[in-house]
Amino acid sequence: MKTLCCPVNGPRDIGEFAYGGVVAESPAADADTLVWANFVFMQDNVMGDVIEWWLHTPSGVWLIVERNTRTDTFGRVWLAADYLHEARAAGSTPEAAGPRAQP
Amino acid sequence: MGAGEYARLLKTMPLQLLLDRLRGPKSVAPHFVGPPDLKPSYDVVIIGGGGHGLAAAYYLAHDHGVTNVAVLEKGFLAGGNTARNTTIVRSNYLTPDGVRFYEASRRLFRELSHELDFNIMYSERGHLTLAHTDASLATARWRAEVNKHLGVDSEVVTPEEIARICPQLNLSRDVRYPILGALHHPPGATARHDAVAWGYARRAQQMGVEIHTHTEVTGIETEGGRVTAVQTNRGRIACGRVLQAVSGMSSVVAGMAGIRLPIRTIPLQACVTEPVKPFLDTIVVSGSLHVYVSQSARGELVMGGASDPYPLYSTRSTQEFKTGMLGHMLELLPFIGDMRILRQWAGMSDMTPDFSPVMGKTPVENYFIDAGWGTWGFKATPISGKTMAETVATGTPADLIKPFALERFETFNQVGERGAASVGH
Repeated sequence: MKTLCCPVNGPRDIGEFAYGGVVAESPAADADTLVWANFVFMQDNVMGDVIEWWLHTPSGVWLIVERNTRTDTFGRVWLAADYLHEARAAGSTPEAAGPRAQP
Repeated sequence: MGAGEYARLLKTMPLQLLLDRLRGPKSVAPHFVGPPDLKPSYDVVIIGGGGHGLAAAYYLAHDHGVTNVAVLEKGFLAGGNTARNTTIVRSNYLTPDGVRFYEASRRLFRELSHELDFNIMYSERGHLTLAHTDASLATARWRAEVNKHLGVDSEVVTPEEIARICPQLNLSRDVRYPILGALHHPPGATARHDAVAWGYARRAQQMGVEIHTHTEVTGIETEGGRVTAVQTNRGRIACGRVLQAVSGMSSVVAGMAGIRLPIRTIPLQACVTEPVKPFLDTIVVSGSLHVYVSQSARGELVMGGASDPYPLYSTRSTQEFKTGMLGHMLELLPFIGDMRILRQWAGMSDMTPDFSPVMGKTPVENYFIDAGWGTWGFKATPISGKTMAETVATGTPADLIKPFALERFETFNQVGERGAASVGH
């Protein structure tokens, strides 16, 4: 069984988690429609390391997780709140875009 | 019966087999001969030697007389998703655009053994999409009406009719998800996936197309919005036009040409049981239970389910998938509980937001794309080859694929086929 180590709940079965999409910065609310269309539909679809939103569904804990999309292995894991705090300090606002569920 | 009809009858396969046998043993010419070194340039380079790329090569030569064509395949012939699908052909889609397209494909499939002079083992079985909820019955009714309007044989059937069409199914009400009805599509069929690719490859090669296996594209050179050459592990090739047909790796290859796609790569898993005597004619799908099953010509039950819950560039299999899928399968066909799983595999699917492909032109003028084949690519093999060949040869997208243009995501003209996908995703 594949596991993901949640900072709150410890190592848990991957089936307890829901995928929330790649962490991304959203366009400005008044950005051009084309910019929004690209943001909503187009994907980098990276083969390699990505930073993603994951939700531990039984406890409702949102995580930010590093994952390799080729080897299916997890790297660093943050509580979403901690990650966003650090991102804000560095001048970016990924929380504005939030997790993007599967189409 | 006229003389012409007698002559045609003599050419039918059973008689030919009989005549061949009476003539005694003979050696069969190899289907493929390895081409010589890569030429420095081709009129058309097709990236991807799977069903779609090979079909496009065939129709480019056959319909348009374009034969200075190289098909580049990084692995062995048709060893990617063409070897990994579950071989179902149907046209009972939801949108008129989708129904027209997949019906045109089904019609080409029916004649393909004759057209290619290669037995693709096309087998019409009938196809049942089971409904376990009022909502899925409503979708079945919607699909049936769109299908019938466009001349596709498709109808909603009751449990009593299902019992007649496919008596093997467990129609008990005393299960977790009783069967309330189904969408019945009598022309639903299966075909031998390898044979489809081999048939196209052989005929394309006979007409002058070069097929280069173990030739991986490593870079794409563009200049002023046009592609000029592709780099491969065997050298650089200049090209007039490029067709990309590499579903599973679409984003990676398109990225080499600077093109971004509305695609996520997500594995789709499948497995087969040990072979048993034929007992299941019908192809059975349940969207609510996330399973589908058909019996192959070899007697194996070919089973698949929903795509994986997150993107991944891998063809690994998981225990979770089989546990979930087979639990539901046992509810539909309880008597298969003693059968053993023989093989398991996965394919990498190009999932698009609207469950329709991405076909036609790209922002790079002479670079054409055939991508976004998610979990619906095999059944589209002939028509995608034919329409992409027309698009590449004329520079104008074929009418049937205009709705699937990449620009639809900028103009919000998606072709929503989620309701016609076999299983949930």
